[in-house]
Amino acid sequence: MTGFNRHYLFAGLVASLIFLLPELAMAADVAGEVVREALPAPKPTRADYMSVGGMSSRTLVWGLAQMHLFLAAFVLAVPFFVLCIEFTGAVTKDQRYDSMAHEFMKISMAAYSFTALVGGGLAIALFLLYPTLMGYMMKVFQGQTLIYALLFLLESVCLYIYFYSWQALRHGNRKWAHMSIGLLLNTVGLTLMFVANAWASFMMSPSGVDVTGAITGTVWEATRNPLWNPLNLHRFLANIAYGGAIVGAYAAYRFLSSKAADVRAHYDWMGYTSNIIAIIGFLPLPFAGYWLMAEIYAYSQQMGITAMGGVLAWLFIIQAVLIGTILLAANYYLWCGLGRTDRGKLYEPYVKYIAAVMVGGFLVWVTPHSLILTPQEVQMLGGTHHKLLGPLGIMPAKNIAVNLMLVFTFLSFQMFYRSNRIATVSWAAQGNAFVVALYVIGCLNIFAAGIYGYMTPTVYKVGASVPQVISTLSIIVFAGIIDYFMYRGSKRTVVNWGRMSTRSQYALFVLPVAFTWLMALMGYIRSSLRTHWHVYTVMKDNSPEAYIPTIGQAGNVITVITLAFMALILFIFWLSSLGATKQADPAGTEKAGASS
Amino acid sequence: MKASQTLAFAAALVFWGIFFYLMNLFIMESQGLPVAWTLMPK
Repeated sequence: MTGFNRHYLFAGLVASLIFLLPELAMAADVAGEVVREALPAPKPTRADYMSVGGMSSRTLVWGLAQMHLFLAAFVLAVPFFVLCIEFTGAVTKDQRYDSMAHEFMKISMAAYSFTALVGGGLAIALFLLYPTLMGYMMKVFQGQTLIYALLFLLESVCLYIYFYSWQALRHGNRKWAHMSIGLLLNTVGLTLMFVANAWASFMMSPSGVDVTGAITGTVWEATRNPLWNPLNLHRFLANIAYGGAIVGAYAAYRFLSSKAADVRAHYDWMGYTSNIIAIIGFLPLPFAGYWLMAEIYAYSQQMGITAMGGVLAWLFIIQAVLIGTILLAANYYLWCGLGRTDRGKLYEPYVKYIAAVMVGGFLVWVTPHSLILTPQEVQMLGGTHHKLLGPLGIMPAKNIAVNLMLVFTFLSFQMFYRSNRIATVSWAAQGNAFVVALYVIGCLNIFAAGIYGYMTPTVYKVGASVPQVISTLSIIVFAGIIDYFMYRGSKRTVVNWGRMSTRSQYALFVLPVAFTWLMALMGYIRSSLRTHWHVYTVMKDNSPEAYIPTIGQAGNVITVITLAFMALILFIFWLSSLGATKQADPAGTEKAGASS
Repeated sequence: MKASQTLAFAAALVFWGIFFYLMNLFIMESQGLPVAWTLMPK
C-alpha cells in the first residue's frame, strides 16, 4: 500500500468514526419519535427511599460516583494521549515513543477492571437507593441506556485488542492498523463519556420535558440539554490533564525506586512527557470551566448565584489554592528540568521572576471578596471589605492573575524547550525580539482588560475576560509557532535524562493528589447546585438528605474519597511494576534447560 | 543589545500593539461592549 493510500484510509477512518459513532449512540433519537406517555415526573415520598443499615445513602452514592469518575477519567484519557504518542513514534520512526506509549497503556489496564467494578457498584447503589429517580431517568433516556451498555462492551473489546496486539502490529502498515484500533477505542470511549455526561447534565438543566417533568421531546432533545457541551469539553480537557498527572506520578515512583542510570533516564523522560501532557490539558481548562459557569448562569441565574455568590463561593477559594498548587508544582518541575542541560543555567536567572509572578498570582487568586466577620472585626476593618485587599477579591483581579499564571507556565516550558537548542537561522535575534515583544504587549493587554473590568458593570466584566483569554492563547500559539520555525534544524545539545533531583519527583506526586482533590471538590459543587432537586426544577428530592451538605461534611467526604483513590492508584502502580518483575532462577535451571 | 535588535524589538512592539488593539476592538464590537475611553470620567 502506498503512503498516500495508507494516510487516506487512516484519515477516512478518523472522519467516519467521528461522525458515525456519536450518531449511533444517540440513535435512540429515532426511538424517541415514538409517542411516549406525557406523565409528569414522579413525586417520591420518604417511603420511596431505602436505607441500608442506617448508612447515609447519599454519601455512599457520592463516594462510588466520584471514585468511578476518577477511574473513568484516567482510563479514558490514557488511550487518547497514548494514540498521540504512538502516532508521533510512527511519524518520527523513534521506537522510544512506541515503548513509552505501550508502558502508559500497561498502567491503565490494571485500572480498567476497577473502573468497571466501581461503575457496577454505583449502578446497583443507584437503583437500590434511588429507584424512583432511576425509573424516571430510564423513561427519559430509554434505549440510550442499552446503547451505553453496548458501548461499554465495545470499549472492552477494543481496549484488549489494542493492548494485546501491540507487539503483533508494531511495524509498517500493521502499525496503521493498530492505530486505527486505537482510534476506534478512543471514539467509543469518548462517546461513552458524552452519553454519561448527558445524564448528569440533564439532571442540572433538563430539556425535552415540560415544567412538570412530563416527557415532551425526543431522547436527543434530552441529551442535547444546555449544559451538555460545556460539560463535555470541560471533562475532555480535564481527563487529559488528570491522566497525564497520574502517569507522571507513576514515572516518578519508578524513577525514585530504581538505581540503574538507564532506567532512571527512561522514567525521567516519561515523567517529563507526562508533565507536558498534564500542562497541555490544563492550560485551556480554566477557559472551559469559565464557559461552563457562564452557561450555568445563562441557564439559571439562581443556580449561578448559588455557585458563586452563596456559601459555595468559599469553595472557589479552596479551588484557587489547589489550582495554584498544581501550577506551582508543574512549574517547579520544569525549572528543575533546566538542570538536565548544560545550557539550562542560562535561563535559571529568569526563574525567580517567573516564581514571583506565580506566587503573586496565587495570592491574588486566594484573596476572598466577602469575609465572614464578627461585629468587632467589621469595626476594626472599617467595613465589610478590606480597603486595600478588597478590590483583589473580584473577578477582574482574579482573571489577570489566572491568565498571567498560565502565560508564565508556558514561558517555563518554553525555556526548557530552548535549553537544549541553539538557533541557527539568520533571523534568530530578531525572532527572539518578536517573541519578547509578544509577551510584553500580550501581558499588558491582559492587565488593561482587567482594569477595564473594574470600570464597567458586571455584564461587561464577563465580556472583558474574553480579550484576556484570547491574549493568553495568542501568546501561547504565536510564541509556539515562532519558536518552531526559529529552532527548526537547530543545533542540539545533550539532554542528560535522569539528571534530576529527588525533590523534583515529589512535584510529580503533588499533581495527581491536588487534581484528585480538586475534582472531588468541584464534583461536590456541581451536584450541590441542584439544591433539593433530583432533576432541577422538575423532580424534587424528598429523601432525608435533600439539602446541600455543609462545607465541613463535604470536606471530610471528599478527603476520604481522595485518600481512597490514592491508595487504589498506589496499588495499581505496584501491580504494574510487579508485572515487570521477574524472579531470578536460584538453581540456574532455566539456563540449563535452555542450553540442553 | 545591537541597534538592529533594538529596532526589531521596537517594530515588534508596534506590531503586537496594533494586533492586540484591533483584537480588542473586534471583541468589544462583537459583544456590544463600550469602548474603554468612553467610560473615563469626563
